Amino acid sequence: MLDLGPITLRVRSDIPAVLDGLMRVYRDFPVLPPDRFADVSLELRHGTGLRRFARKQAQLFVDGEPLFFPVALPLAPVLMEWGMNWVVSLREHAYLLVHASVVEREGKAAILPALPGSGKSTLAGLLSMSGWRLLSDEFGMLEVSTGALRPFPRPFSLKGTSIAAVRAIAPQMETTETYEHPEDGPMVLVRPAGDAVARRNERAEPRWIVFPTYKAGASLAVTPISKTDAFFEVQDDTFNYFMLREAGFEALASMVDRCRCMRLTYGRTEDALSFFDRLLAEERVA
Amino acid sequence: MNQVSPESLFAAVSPRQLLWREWDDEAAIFNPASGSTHRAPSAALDVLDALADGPATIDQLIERLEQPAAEQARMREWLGMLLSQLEQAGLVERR
Repeated sequence: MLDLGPITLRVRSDIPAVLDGLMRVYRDFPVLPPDRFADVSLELRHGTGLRRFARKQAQLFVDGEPLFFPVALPLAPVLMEWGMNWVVSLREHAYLLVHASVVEREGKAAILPALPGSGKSTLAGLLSMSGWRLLSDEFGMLEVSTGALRPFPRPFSLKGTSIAAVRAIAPQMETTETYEHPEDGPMVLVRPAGDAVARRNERAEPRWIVFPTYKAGASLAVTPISKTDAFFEVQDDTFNYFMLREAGFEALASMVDRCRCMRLTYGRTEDALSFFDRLLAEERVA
Repeated sequence: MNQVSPESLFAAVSPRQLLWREWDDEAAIFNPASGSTHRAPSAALDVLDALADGPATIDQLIERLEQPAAEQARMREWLGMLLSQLEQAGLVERR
């Protein structure tokens, strides 16, 4: 049983290698007594389908019910992350859930909403190894009652060349073993750096909405966008905006009110990191 | 889209319940009646506010919006387009 901050997670598995891998990247989270109430109960078991004879598989169960198709055994920890994302997106409605990475420094948060493949996880990973605190990778959890961003600093995934890019600035980065995803290639889960887990209940104030795009070799380009553009783009990438109705509108509009909004294209790690440091420096002066 | 005639009478749908934010020259408007959020020029907020006083024709709206006489012909055409858009969005209805 793990205290992840916004949720309490019970994990069970009959696959020792899976638990070993998970505990490598989840080991900073407090372990709670097993009789505590769990918000989410996930179980990974050996797959029982016919394919198990050709290749060992893992099947995910959420609250005892199977979820998703079984995957190759080494991908089991990734399957657990997908399952957790699925459950959180369906249940955690005290928050407006924005599909975004979020990083924080000096109490001020940058929200990085983006489509898969835009490099938001890589950028958030880089920032989290460079003095910024990782609030969350998959979900920006905007607390409806306060307008603050709630940390949910789980291990984040890196794929392909991003693994080496982040390792280059953070050789100490701790990961699971490398999994071969059939479509995305090599993939790892990364242990949240620094004090991200210890500060998992420390909220942050939204200050910047940055839509990142990584383009190999590109020069840094920053384009301010209107708050209306930002509002509707973020709204398109939320999980529960339509369910929250008035509360969702107010939460999102208030977040946009408080943020500078921009697009960022970068091709070099150092450019992107300097840019975020400049944002913070400007905020200190303002 | 129906043609807007000078006699067409427009009414705002639940104008007192709308939520909105205005940024620069645009607005995001949430309509609790439909659960939808609409993007509109910020002037749409003035029109919805004017309609909150009761249904109106385009000419009555121009009067409520206190537009100068020289602007009225251009305003009539522009309001016709805007009201049609607001009608399509379900924020305004024709009576």
